Amino acid sequence: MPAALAVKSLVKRYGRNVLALNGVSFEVDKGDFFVIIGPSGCGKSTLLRCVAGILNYDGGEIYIDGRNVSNVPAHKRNISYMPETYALFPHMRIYDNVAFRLRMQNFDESEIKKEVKRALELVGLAGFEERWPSELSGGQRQRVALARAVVANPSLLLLDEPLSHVDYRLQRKLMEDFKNIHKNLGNTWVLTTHIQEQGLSLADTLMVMNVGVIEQKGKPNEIYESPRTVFAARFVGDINLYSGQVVEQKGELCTVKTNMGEFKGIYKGTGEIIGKTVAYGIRPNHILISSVEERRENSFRARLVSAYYFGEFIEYIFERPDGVQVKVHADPMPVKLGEEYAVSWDTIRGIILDKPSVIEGLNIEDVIYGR
Amino acid sequence: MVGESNNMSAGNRSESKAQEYPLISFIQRNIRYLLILPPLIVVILFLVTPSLMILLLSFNKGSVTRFDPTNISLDNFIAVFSRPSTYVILRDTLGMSILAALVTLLVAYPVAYFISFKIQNFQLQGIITFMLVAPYWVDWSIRSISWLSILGEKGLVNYTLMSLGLVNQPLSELLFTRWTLLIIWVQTNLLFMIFPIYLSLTLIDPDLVNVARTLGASPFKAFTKVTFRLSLPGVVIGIIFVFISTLGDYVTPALWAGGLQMLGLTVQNYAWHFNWPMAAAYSVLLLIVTLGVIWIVLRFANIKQVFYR
Amino acid sequence: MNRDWTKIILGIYTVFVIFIFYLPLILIAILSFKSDASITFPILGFSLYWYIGPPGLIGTSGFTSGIFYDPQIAQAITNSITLGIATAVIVVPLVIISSLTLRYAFKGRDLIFYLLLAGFIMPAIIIGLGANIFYKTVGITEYSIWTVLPLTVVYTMPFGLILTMARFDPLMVEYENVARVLGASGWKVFRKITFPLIRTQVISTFFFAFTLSLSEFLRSSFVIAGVGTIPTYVYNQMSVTAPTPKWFALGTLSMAISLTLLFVVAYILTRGQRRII
Ligand SMILES: Nc1ncnc2c1ncn2[C@@H]1O[C@H](COP(=O)(O)OP(=O)(O)OP(=O)(O)O)[C@@H](O)[C@H]1O
Ligand SMILES: [Mg+2]
Repeated sequence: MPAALAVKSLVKRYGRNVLALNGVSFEVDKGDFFVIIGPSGCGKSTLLRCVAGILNYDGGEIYIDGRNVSNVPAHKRNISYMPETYALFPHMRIYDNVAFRLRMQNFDESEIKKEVKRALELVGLAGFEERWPSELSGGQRQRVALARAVVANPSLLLLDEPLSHVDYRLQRKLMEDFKNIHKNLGNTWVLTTHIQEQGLSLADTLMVMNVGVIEQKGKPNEIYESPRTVFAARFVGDINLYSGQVVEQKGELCTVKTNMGEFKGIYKGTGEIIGKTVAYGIRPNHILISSVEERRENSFRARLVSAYYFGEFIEYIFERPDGVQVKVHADPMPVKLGEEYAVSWDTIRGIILDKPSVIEGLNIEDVIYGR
Repeated sequence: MVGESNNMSAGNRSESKAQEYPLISFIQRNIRYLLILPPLIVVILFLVTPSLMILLLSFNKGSVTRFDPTNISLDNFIAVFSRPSTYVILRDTLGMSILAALVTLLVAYPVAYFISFKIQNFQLQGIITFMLVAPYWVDWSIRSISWLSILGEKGLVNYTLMSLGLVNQPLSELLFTRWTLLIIWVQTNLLFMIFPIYLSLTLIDPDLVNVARTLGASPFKAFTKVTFRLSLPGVVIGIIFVFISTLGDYVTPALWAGGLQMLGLTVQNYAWHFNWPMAAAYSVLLLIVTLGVIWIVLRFANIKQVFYR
Repeated sequence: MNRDWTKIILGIYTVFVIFIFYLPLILIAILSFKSDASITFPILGFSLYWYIGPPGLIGTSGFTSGIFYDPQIAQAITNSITLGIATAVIVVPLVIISSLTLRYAFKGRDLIFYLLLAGFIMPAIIIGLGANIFYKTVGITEYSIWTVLPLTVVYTMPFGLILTMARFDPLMVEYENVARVLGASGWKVFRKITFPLIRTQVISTFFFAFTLSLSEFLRSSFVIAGVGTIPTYVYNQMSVTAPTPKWFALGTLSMAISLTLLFVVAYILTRGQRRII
């Protein structure tokens, strides 16, 4: 079975100076719920627009369902595209907006009526047919745009930042809604996002982009547990990162000497890294807090300086006398601000990374500290 | 001064003064709206009043140049509407105006589309637009007699044809026909059609077209269903402009139309012969026709939504 | 990737339209250097007579001269430029205050909006004839460019209004509110926020008002006397004598000035890569 979407060495320049896509290659399986994540300006929208056929590119090929679409105009690709602005047609009522694709395919009116009703019910907006786009709230507009995109079941859906206009708490719910609609329809969805929205874990496949390139592609938990670069580690899930030198390497097991002491962790790459400057990472939810010194390989003492409530967990921030901070996600527990505690973690949770990014020539410390 | 009414402290101050100077406090509270008065007064004084005077004068008889309330009759209008020539004039005027508007639209639209959608560089956009404006600094009469040099008996076209040996006699029908009139009208009004269309095209979000394309619309369908529909306010403004400037034109037809009678020309003829009340009556007819045409054209687009956003 | 054929075809078309648009002007420029007094072909010789020729008897056109020796042309040019600048200077503030006021909903807004646009809708001859009757009624009989001025103001204001309002930033009121909350007084808000946002529209309005009143004939011819403006002067002259290349010399001069000036303005306005109209 051919991939729903295959992109090969795609290159896109804007003018002479901006290289928005620098030879991007990846595949999306049929029926996948595929999320592209990356910082603002890394080329996500550019990528989607090339795939949609509304932007000319400078090199590479795009295959949809195994067919090279480089010379197929946008309206013959059997896809849907939802831009960041939703772009509802302001001169058409909701009904006519959603019916647009069906009209283009010359469906008869009774069929159109049925399909529009189905699509609007799917997004929970039945009864809004006669409204104008200007009479809807931001979230409703976004759902109409979705209804318009899914009608007539195109094989590939491209949604550019579908969640960026809704509030933080709605993001997870909408992601779940999307996931359900996706399950009902069974076609392929490609979404982009530039912030770590809640519900990223719902993606079947996650692809992390850096400026013009792909950092890592895989299942969300794969990237979360074994990021390949510091950049990917920072972008998928929260992480505490420290720089240090490798002083010992035994198979995957390495010891890193940092300013706060020596920590043990796992290095999944190949090759000799002794003496190299690397990143030592530890996820906030893998750290344990206790009032007595723990008998583990990795631990240090620090003062609790703040705590934030996030609903499902609490984020505790600890600070060492030298100013180094560590973030811990845990259930509510009887701790006091200003008191000193021991934080500790298991060696298998320690992530050791020697590559800052797939982009060559970056300084690892700059990437670690987000400079 | 402008925002004084929005300033909390100023609002309180004016309230305490309200008993002493109710007028001042009224002005302070409503300054935001009262600013409309100067332009409004200019328009009422120099547009509304003169038009009303024409209306009044059309009910007078004879060669008066000022309204005479003792001498009111409907005779002018009876004369206007009972003459068969009026209807010929109306037919010719409307026919030529509609033709001019449509031809101008056809010529102008692709240009406006090209400038706004196909040129990304704003500097180039500006320069092309200004190149279209520059000829308007050359006096209209001068531009218009240049057609003598192009289409006249010894003009460029005849000269070229004859020196190439294609014709022996100069073609005399090139000038002074309704087609000359049409060409000149299209040329004079082109900018005023390109301009509003360009303006409304630049207000369209390009993603609307992109989305239409991915939803299965061919480039042509996307154009008719989205781009053209959304540019209608500009099209309508352009058409109204061409209509108005051609319906009331009295010079171009006199010079170039080869005897074709037009409504504007008729008004001017009566004014010239000091039959002002008849001129006024034809003006009223002209105004009615103009407003009627505008009313019909406005059915096609909601212009207001472009301005109050 | 594919070439954008639409772009190529439309580009060629646009160039063609601009060429046709300029064809009469190119011809005007060429013929203005003719040595004889006719404005037709063939061209037998070239000279600068119609620009700098001293006064004298030329063929059938009687007593004439090059444009630089014609005091009446100088007068007409001065009058036209004065009228154009006066119109623009009056129209710009009127457009600013009316467009800003019309953003707010108030009773009668639609009526006022249409009234302000009426100068655009009213046929030229009605404005001209009406103004003539109006001046007679109120007792003004001395016609000059100052009696034309109100008409050009009323006529050009709608263009500025359309141009300014159609390009309003939809968030302008928000920016103003933010500035006010941050402590700016009403005047400061206008100077620091509102005006910069509409600056390019204001400049375009100025140029539109100037250009339109420069070429205004249909309305002014009813209320002007003496030499008048360029359009009325040239028109009156042409209706009594056969046209000579002298007028083409005048046309060429205006064209040269306008192209230079407009290119400079276009360049200055677009330096920051922003849309100018
Ligand atoms: N029309 C354009 N002209 C020039 N540069 C552009 C253009 N569009 C985008 N760019 C540049 O290309 C790069 C990628 O832009 P793109 O819009 O694809 O980013 P993005 O990943 O979608 O960002 P965001 O998350 O903010 O939407 C950016 O550096 C941007 O500045
Ligand atoms: Mg984007």
